[in-house]
Amino acid sequence: MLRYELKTISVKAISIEDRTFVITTERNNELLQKSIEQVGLLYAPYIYFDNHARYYRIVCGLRRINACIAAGWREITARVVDKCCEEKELFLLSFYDNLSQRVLNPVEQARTALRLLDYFADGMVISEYLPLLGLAPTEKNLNQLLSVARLEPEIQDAVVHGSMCEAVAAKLALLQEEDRNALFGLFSQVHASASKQEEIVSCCMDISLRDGTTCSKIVRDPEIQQILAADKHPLSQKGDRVRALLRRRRFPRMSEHEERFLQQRRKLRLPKGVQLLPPPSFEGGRFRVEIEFDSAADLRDKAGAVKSMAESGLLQKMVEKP
Amino acid sequence: MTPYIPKKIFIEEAVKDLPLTRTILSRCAAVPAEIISSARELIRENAGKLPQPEVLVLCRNKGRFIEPCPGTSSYLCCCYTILNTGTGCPLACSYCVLQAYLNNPFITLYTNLDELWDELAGCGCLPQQQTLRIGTGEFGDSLALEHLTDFIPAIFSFLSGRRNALLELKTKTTRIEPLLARDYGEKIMVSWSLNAEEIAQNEEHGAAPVEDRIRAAGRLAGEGYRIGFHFDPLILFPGWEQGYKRIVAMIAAHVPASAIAWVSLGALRYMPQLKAISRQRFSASRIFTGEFVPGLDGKMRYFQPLRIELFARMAAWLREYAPDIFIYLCMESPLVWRQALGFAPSSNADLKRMLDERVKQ
Repeated sequence: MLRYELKTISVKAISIEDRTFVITTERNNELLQKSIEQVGLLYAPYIYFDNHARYYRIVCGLRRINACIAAGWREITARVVDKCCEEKELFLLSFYDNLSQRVLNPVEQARTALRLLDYFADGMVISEYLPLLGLAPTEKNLNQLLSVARLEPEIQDAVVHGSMCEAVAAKLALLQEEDRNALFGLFSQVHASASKQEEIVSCCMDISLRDGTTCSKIVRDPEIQQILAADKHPLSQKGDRVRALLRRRRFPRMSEHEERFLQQRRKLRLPKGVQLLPPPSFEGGRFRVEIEFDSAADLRDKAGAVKSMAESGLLQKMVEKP
Repeated sequence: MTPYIPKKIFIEEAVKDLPLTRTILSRCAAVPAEIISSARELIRENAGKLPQPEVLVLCRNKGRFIEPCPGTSSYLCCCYTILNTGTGCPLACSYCVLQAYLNNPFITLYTNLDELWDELAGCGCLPQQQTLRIGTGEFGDSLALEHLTDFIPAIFSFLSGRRNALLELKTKTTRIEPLLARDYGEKIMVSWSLNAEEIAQNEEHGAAPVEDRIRAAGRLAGEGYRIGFHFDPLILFPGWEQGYKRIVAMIAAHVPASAIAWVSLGALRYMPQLKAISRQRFSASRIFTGEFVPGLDGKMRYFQPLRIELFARMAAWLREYAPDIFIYLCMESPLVWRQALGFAPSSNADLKRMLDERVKQ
């Protein structure tokens, strides 16, 4: 058991810059400040006096201490942990304290994993601590966390605020700084869901490897810049256009094939409500026809159109040489 | 190629006194060895790690040694029977499916061969017209560890008394010494996995040069063995036509067509998770930048028209050299068969029958 003593300490003696044990990404919390102003500090933070630095380090309770300072407090009552405590014990105290109060966000999980590796072997972190973070105990998950932990603060902020998912951030971490910043810059100019962001990053990585270029050069391409510069389009549309352009470059033969299929389908002149659908990714040879109708007569008409299509040479060409 | 010698051996307590365990240990006398109570536990603790071929685990196979190739419902399968003598491979091919398929980073050999023979004996009662085509090349290279195991003479003695059984050894090595000057040809055939030299050099780390593989095949053909070639995985790269055509010309120069039982063609396909795993180990590899799409079995495959073109061209070059050569596709749809080869088996059983007939010839 950790030994501690309740003491009233001047806030000036506490370093809020020292992040040795701090996991949280949240800097301020107005709700917490209001609560402290109303009912006081209900749960005393844990701090530790660093003899060498000559200040108190926060073990857990950064947000509470920040809220007290914001509320104008000059002193706070804190649990001052015994000097004999090892750093590992202090970090674990911080970890379990955070864990008992809330779900850690991906960057907090990443910071935790990185620090845990200072004290424990990889295998131990994977098997014992990842499940506590709500993650499957796999090396892949640990590697993803470590990638996120090493990213620039702006990208970590994007992960915390949900504008970039953790998996995309981890992919960016694999890139050189220039490429990473280029793609991060791209995402700040478009709206794209997590899966679309992931597709854009994957396309850029694959194209750069295939063509011996870099992601930053791909992003600087005039066609992409033109899409980004078009003021009249909403950000989500810009995201879709960039994605479509990159997809065409990544899959040139398939894109050409898709385009040809669409052209041929237009030539079939199917009535509204009748659709000819190719196999997904043109894999296999199973095409589908979808008919929407609102009466028996409507269905008869559309079935007639489908019958005519079935007899056309063009359809035969489309489905027999997919 | 230097013969594989591990840097560390773990021996499961239960197999430490078995003859094959002792044979392997005597051939790795300088390698540190450690007895462990459970290989399963060791593997579980290391599950998900990148391959560590320098570690060899000797243990008991608690499961089945013989399994039908799982195939998949959407593509035609040749109904090959897998003889599972171990898992993992000392070669390091960037595209190797085992990197993602196995949850065991070590090379593992099962040394409880008595149980293998018992199980194999149970498969010997096939109807007259059927053939048991078995192979050890599914979870590793069939010849890469032979210098440690002496498996070939053992299985030959087992098979020699049994009708309708054929062992197909699949390899990327040239370690044919155990087969030379022997009369194993009736029961054992050897197949080489081949690729364009550009792919072999950049992606098949530790494997023998392709020309050496083909020369080894020619040498065994000269000793009366039936030979197979598996162009699998075929990989598209700039200049692939010339690259693969050159290999077909090498075969023509070194191996008589009459010795070739079959040639299979398969295009690179992979479980989606393989790409990331391979990239960690082989970051310069470009093979996953091809136009891959999800296949009907969930694996990533080249866009279908690309596969058809690849197979059709390969088949044309092979037929130019040997018009009667038997070519089959590995895990492809009847549609792809028809468009690439001009015919398609009506079912898995039909394809199995075609291959069985080749064995009997």
